[in-house]
Amino acid sequence: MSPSPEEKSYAVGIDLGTTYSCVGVYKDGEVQIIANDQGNRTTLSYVAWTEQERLLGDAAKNQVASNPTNTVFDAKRLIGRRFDDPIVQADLKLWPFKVVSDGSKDDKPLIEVFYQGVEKRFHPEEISSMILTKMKQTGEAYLGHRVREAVITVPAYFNDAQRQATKDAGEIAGLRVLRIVNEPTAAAIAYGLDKSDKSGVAEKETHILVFDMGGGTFDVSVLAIQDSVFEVKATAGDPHLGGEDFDNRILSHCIADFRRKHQSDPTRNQRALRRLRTQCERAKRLLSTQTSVTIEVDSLHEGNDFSIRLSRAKFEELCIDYFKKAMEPVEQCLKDSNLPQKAITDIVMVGGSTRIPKVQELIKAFFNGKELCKSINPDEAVAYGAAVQAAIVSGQGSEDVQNMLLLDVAPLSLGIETAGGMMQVLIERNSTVPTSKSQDFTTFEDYQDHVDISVYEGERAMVKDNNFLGKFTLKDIPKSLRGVPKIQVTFTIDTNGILQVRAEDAKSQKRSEIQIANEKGRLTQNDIQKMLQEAEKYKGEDEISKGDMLAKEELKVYMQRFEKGIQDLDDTKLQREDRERLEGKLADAYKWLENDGLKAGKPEFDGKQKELQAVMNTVMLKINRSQTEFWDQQVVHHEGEKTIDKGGFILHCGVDIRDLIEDPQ
Amino acid sequence: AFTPEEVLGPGSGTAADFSASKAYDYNRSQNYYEVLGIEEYAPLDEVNRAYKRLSLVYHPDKTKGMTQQQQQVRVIRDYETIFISVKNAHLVLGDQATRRQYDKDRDYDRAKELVSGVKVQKADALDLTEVLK
Repeated sequence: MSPSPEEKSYAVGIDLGTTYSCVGVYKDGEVQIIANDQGNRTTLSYVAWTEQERLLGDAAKNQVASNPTNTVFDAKRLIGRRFDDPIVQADLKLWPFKVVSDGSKDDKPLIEVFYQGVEKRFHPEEISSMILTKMKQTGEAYLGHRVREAVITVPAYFNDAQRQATKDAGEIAGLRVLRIVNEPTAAAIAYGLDKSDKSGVAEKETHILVFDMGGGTFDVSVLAIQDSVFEVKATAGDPHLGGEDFDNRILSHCIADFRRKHQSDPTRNQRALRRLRTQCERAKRLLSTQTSVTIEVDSLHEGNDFSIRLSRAKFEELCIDYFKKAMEPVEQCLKDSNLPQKAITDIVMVGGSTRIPKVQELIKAFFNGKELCKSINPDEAVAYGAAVQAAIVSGQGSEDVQNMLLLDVAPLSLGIETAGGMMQVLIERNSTVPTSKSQDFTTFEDYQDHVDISVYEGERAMVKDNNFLGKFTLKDIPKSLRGVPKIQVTFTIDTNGILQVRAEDAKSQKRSEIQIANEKGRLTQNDIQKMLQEAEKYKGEDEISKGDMLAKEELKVYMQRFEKGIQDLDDTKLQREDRERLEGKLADAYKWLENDGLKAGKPEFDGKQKELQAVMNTVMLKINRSQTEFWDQQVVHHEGEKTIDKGGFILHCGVDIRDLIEDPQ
Repeated sequence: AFTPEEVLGPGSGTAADFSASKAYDYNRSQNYYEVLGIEEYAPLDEVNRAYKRLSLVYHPDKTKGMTQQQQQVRVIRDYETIFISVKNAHLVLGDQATRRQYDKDRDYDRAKELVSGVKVQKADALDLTEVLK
């Protein structure tokens, strides 16, 4: 499918990074990473507004010291998040530009700048779209053709709101976003192509681990590669970890030093901070090749010059907790992939921060001294892979590329709410997409003629702890007793990650469905990570609450039987006072369930059920013995009941003493 | 000498396989070997390869290179259905414990068929054996 010459357009791959972006295109059988108008193969993800104009990329960063409040960066740390997200709140303090809430229900953040004397507000999507426009123009300048389609990469742990927001940014930049691809997956393609160029296509299945640490994001993925098919096995990450965090540590270290030396505080001086930060970043880069470096800024604050010597050892000491934290997702990812450590044939290092010797040392130690794969360019690998994927999904490119395939996974478990607020998972986390799964459900109450189906995503046992996605109703179920109707619920996810949920009643063939197409306002990325961590932490707690819920449901079912039992007994069998007593007990139980029942546990529910059973048993016993009038006049059971009310026990294998005494008459 | 470890990979061939949780809730009357187009004694490596090769043919992404006419929704739907069957077959046969449980269930059904003469009902089979050739 090749477009006619005059309409010829290319699909590019764009790595939209926190600090740097990169664009590549698959052309004439190979991937070209495209240099921008400054001759750089990566472009800074910066946008600035001066008195006269808007600046993009490198030009924007060059004037940052003189115009700090109107120079915007880190849009990736804001995109798809809420303003009240704790991560946004923490980042706010470090940014020289101003971020405010849009005041709506969604609480979206807006970036405020002054342009030509007027206050302007932008969504993070708009800032990202400006950077994407710059990348698009870079591509067009090189190709001499329009660029209309693109594959854009995001961190693997990005949630749907963030993916959707990134997609929106692409649309705003005038690009048709063919696919949102995970960064480590794209890097794996670059690695796979590099390998197959050298040694031919791997016949045997190999497993690789991609360690992707960039400017602001950190991802780990385990993939299986065989016959040019890339299968994602598992993925993990840290929501907020990258080179910028290391810069901040060096920056704080320098500020503390400056304060000590000059007894003055530069933290309110945005220009000073910006100049110092630039030097800190430079020092960090140099420390990957040198063992010590001098940070120097002339006339930093109040006329004082600043100079400090920073050794590699000191830098490592400042950031060691970050480095160690980065090993947790590696462990998690290996665990999720069900692979032993020695099954990993290569460890692929991607992203600028993987140049730090200590990071390399730690991961090497984790894999018992295994050599790391550094043959691919850590800054360009993601854009390289994205360019290949763009060729695959747009049907362009050579036969080689057409023979490649990427099998990606669903990042979170998906399921529906069942009785008692429990989450019934239909599609598990890390399932390969597209996928489809059906399960049968039934009604909970007699003569129920409709069911509500609420769809959630997350890893916890209770739906209230997970993230709500959507809800629909299946109506006109033929009336029958509870547990009789068979309702089949089917989840389907297509290659674009769009979830479709369908419910069908087996008897009436009535159908109802909902499409959940990456709705906005889904989880914040922080939530996903938190949910995953919490799911681990609260696993034990979930087991307990599961037991509690089951006991509660059992009690409710028993109470319904109890109620039905009273109704079924007619007045000839059940004396009035007994009926009143039973009804009173039941009303008490309902009241208890509404009040104390909310915070009660399994023992309380079980206890309440036993209490009801005891009353019912005494009454039933009396009915069954209604011929022996003598015993009817005895009120012995009232005493026993009181005992149970006070917390007494029921003897299960007890013998009714009345059986031992002969009828007195 | 033949050892289960060699054929099925390390850590296999233990009794624990039979009590392990299933990777996929399989239908015992369905022949997943035919879905992947492989021999019943195919080693794990071959199972994985068959899955990859069939994915290359039936993954919905592979419809992108087709002409407009072929790209009609119906084709994509069919591809999706086939791919999901292939993927599920791989979940059953690609996991050692699940494959052993499935094999055991099938052996039981076959033995029952031989002894009692009652045919065990077979699920509608998707046979992709030809595709791989």
